[in-house]
Amino acid sequence: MKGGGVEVLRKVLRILPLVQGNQGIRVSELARQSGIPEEEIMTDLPALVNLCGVPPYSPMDLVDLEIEGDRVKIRFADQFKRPVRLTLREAIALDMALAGWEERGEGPFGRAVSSLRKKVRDAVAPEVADEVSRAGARIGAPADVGQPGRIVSLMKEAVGRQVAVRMEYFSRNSGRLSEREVHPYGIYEQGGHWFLVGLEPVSGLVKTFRADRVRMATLTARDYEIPLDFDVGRYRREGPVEPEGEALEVKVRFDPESARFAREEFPASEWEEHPDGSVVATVKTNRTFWLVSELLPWGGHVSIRSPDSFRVELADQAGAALALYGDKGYQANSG
Amino acid sequence: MTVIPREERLLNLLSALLASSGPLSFGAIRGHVAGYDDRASAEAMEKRFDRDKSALRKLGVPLEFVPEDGEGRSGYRVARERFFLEEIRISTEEGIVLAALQKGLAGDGGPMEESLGSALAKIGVDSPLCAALRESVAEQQLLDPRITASDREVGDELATFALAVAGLRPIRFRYYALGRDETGERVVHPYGMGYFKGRWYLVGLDRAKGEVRSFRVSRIRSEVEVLEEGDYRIPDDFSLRKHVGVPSWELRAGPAVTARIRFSPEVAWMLSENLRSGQTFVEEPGGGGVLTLTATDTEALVKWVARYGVHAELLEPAEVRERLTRHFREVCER
Repeated sequence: MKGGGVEVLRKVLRILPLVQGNQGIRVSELARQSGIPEEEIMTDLPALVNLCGVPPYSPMDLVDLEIEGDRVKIRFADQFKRPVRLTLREAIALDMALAGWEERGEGPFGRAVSSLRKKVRDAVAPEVADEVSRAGARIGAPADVGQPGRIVSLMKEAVGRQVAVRMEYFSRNSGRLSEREVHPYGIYEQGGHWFLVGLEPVSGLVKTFRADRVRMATLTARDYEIPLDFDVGRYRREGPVEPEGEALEVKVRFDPESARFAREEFPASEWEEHPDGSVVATVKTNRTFWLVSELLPWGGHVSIRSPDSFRVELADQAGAALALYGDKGYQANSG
Repeated sequence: MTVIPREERLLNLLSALLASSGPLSFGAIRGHVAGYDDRASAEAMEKRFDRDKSALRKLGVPLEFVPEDGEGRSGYRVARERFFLEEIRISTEEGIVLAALQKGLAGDGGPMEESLGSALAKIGVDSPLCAALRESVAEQQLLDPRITASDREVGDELATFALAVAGLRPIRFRYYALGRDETGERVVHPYGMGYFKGRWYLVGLDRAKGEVRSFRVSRIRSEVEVLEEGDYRIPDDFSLRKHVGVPSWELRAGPAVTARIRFSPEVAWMLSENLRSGQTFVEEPGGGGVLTLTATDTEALVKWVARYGVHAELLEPAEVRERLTRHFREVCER
């Protein structure tokens, strides 16, 4: 197996209890749970483990690891039945992953996250227990104001029971609040926001909804089925679903003063750097209202290279906002 | 007898120690445990044993020497209760969280993700519930484990920060200050780490500046060096929440202004239902309302209000209202 003596032993100690606890486990599942590649499990593991055991090394003293087809079994390895306690790195990694969802009161997972964090601390090696406790107290995610625990809990329930949800939703595509019915297929969390992916029966389209834009939601009695091939991971990887229609390719110039800030904060798919220090960002979307709201904060630091239609739309929205301040000098659609 | 590979020898030694009902002397190991039964000299064998003990201890094996147990035996033993995990009972809801975390692993490497994966496997070992849940509803509830949030966040920096925070160890790194557009060396006493809107932040005392600062992990521009220096204490009044997740208009130190902003009915509810400490909201007929807040950075406030476009109007203070007017006018004129 790859790695030096200690690393190999660490891998073996990770794998053996997993097999002991699930005799006949598939190699692919074992690889996924242990993080050790399948080929190492298939070829290196038996070669190493089957030569080990306890004196006097009679057949029943030697570990017997057998891979039949794609299934793994083990005998005579009771001394490795239990997994090793969590290392400091493992405990901190798991605690960090849980830290963000621990909310006071009702959250999407109720008390489960808090109780899991406590179990993590109880599962570490004693010599690092104090460090893990200190880390737990010092590493966290201040709950976002507006973390919509109640809405996400309801969506979780809807996905679990496969019942339709009626909701009032603010769409950044249209800039309007409207009622709609959705069949939730899955939820995911990314970048501190919760997203629901589901079918909107009226349009027949699968859409993405951000939970903090749901004003109100209730479960209905209408049930549905989640398609077998639905993969919520795809939506997390590829981002929110764009509305139907051809995406617009918008090129936005950020002046030299704002360029470095834009590179860090503005959601563009491509960047071009220019000798004068400015950058041009390319965004492909047909959610133009959303793009307008992303650009308005930049004020005079941005200019739209193309298309003209979006330049006009941005100016129109800025002009409409300007009118709130008593300045009705901008004429809409003047270009 | 040929000398066997080190990993095989270590595994045999550990096996023998674990399988033994009492302490195992070196005499019982030499000549009996595979890997200690070749023709090496007594001195070489002892050195081999010393190296192997160190290796096992480095692995976290609580290997201890017992001068004499209740039956008069002396030798080495592994404190099983300190080494192995006791049975962990996982509830259904806890199992869903673990299964969803497991599914959320991107599998694209990174030391923290590897640690998370092995931690999940250990915690879930007693709960076949976790395996079953992966095939069911948990498949549709995908959580971002947060430590693999983005390409810049993954990596040794995050792991090193976390360990330094846990162990209260000063660290040194090069950091890109976005505002000043310059990179410089920092020595920091870490106080905590926070996650907010997809970014990890390290918070600690910047030794050169003598002030507590927040550092975005993605702006680290070097390897992080943990310093072998004395201990430090975290001040009793330190709060992570004062440094991570703070609204942009409250970040800068300085004189505060009170601002009032009117929001349209379409968006007012987002503000009124999620007030921060120090903010108030007064509803108006028609469903809109007015938010009152305190800001120390009016430029950041202008940007935040501008994002709402026609759905927000800053009412006061007058000078910030004038700045917003100029802000929108500049957009119209571009």
